[in-house]
Amino acid sequence: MFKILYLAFSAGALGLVLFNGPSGSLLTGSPDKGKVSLAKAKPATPGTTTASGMRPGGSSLAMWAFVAGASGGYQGGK
Amino acid sequence: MMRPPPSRMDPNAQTIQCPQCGAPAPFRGHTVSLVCEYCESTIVRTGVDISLVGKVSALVDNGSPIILGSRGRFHGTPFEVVGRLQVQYGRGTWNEWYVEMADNTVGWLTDAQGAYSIVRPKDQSIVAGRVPPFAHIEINQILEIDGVPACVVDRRGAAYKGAEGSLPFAAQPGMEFYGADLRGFNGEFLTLDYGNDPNHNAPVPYMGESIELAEVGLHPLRQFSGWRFTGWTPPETAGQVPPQGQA
Amino acid sequence: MAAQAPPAPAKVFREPAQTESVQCPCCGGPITLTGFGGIEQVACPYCGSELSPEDSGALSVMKQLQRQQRTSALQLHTRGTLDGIECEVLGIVWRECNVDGATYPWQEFLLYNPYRGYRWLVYSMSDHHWSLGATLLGAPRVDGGSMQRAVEFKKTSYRHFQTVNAVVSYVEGEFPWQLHVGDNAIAHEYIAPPVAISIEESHMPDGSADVNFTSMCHIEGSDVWKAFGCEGSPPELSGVGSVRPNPYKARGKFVWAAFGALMAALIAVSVIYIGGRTNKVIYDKSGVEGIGVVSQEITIGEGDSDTTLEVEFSAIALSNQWAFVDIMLINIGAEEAMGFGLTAEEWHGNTGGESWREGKSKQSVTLGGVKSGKYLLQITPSTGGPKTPVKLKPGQKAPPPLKLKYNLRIKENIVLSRYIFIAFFVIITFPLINVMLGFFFEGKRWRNSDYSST
Repeated sequence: MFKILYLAFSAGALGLVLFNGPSGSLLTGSPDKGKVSLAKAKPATPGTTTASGMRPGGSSLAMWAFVAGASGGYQGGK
Repeated sequence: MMRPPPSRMDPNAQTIQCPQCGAPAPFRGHTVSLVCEYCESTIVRTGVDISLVGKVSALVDNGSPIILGSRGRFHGTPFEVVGRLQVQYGRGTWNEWYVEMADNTVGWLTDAQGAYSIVRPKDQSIVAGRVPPFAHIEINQILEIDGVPACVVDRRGAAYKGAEGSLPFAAQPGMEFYGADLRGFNGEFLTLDYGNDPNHNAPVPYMGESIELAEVGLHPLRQFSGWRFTGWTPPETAGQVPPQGQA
Repeated sequence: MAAQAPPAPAKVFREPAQTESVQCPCCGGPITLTGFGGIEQVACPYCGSELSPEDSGALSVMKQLQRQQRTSALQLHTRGTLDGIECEVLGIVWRECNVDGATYPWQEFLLYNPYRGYRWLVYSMSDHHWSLGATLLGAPRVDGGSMQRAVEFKKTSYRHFQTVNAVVSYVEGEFPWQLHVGDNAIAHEYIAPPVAISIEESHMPDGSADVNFTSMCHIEGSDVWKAFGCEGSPPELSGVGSVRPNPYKARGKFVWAAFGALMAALIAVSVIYIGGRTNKVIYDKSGVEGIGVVSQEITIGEGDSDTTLEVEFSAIALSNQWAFVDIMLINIGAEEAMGFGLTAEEWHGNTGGESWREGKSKQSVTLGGVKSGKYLLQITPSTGGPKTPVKLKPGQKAPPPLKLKYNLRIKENIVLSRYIFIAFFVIITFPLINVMLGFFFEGKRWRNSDYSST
């Protein structure tokens, strides 16, 4: 029984490395997630960075409505 | 009708007749005393002379499965049991079976309370002066006999009780002797025979090893009522029909 | 030469040996000697007297005793097959020893087979363990280096377990040697589970003495029960018997071999896993000044598979200041957003003459299960000073607003070492558990020895 459990759990752990490691979905915490509606859809073209420093007025930013209820955000660690 | 020679291993056995009853007394080359199987008189041979000692104390049945004529193989050499000496000591009796090996050497098969060993007589000179006299032997002592370290497991005074078959000496019943048994670290079995003097330190050593009867495949064996012999070889029905008398 | 025909030859011992029936000289009860000629002593089953068979066949009295009613795990004259050898319980000895004021009784059953000799079944009446003993064909050598705590025989080392003064308290049946109530012997037990060597020294009143080396081996009560056809189940065991083999040690061979193979597998799997991680930097801005919101489209991952992200935020030259970035990753295709924050801070001061410093100037966050695709990265930085601002002295100018200069880097498809550590932990834990269980087992065994602290 012990031997079977040993081999089973070890195989499972090794399988986890191989098959779940790349996506890391099972062993990482999730940040707050929520649905978004992209209002005033004018997605920034890739490569552009909106202003550093000042809040641009008028330029379109994706406005978003946070459905899930905000909190302090994800303060996760590695 | 003449009985066939008792041992195919000794075709030159003398055909001597028992002085008491006239039955054939098959002395072997080295046999000194022979107990007549028919009248139980002891016949002693010195040189070419035969003399009758008379009936010695009877052997008792001390439950041994070994019988005269049992044969086995010791380290590949076949052997036959040709004689028995029964010894009495404080706590009971044991047997020493005189054994003839196919290579023309002899030995003793000791048989005490279900423990067996095969030992060969050695010369006194290999232990003379190097072992304590019997009076100073203690159990659990480690002695070295001819290079073999061994532990004293038994020491006792004993007396000859009876005999059957062929023996290399004329054992007087009642003759006392002192002895000690030793066991080696590799299964060796040794006996020191001090004779009837416990104060000298030149015993006759017998050296060999402990055995199990299964190892040597001893057969035929005694039959015991209510027990079936299984394992090594089934017992032959040895000598149950008495031979015809001779003319 | 005699002319007459010799008498019918009387060859001794050619007829099968018979069991004899004799009368007890004390009580007259009929006794059958089932041990044939080798018996030196028999206890009368009716009156309990110790008798000795004479050559004549009659019994002589050694000691007149009272028969006791004693319970016995096996009955006299039961036959059974143990180890393929048929045997009969010829005699039973009750012995006991006294350790620290407590009496520990046990039974020894003499097993007889006319062709195979004598063996002993030993049954501990206090904890119900069984062992089977036979004469050791040889002598054990005292291991000089171990302070007499071990002996060696045929290359196996046996550790000293206990030495007791064994006293015979009661005897039933037949024996090939004399055995009296009150006989005592010093018995040393040396173990190498599942076997042991027992060394017993006895001194006889007639001055002779002997030492017996017995080879003992473990046997299960259920095997004894099956061999002798006993009813029900053998009595339940308590504790660990001195020669019971350690099942954890036996299992250990497999477990450590499996460990080796699994470690090799772990190394291979780790190489494959780490080798497949690109650790690709998908966003890297250093020396960004100010608290302006940054918004940029980035591509995360490849194809359809989810990936991992590491976001590292560090602020430069903080002094009694905190810096915080609120990060949003908005999956443009799936219209899903995730939000999280990272903090960097530095605080220092001088309290009561001691200067102190605390706070970390960088923080990382790891995300997993991140869907691949185009994302909008939105960074909202902020900064501030101590909660309670320093009061201004009159005429003192307000300090300038705190500046922020920071780096932000995002890597995808990173190595998550936690996976490898977890697998290693699982692989090493089972063997270690097995070792622990093995130690506890041995602890229980040695609790009954001369070496336990209790």
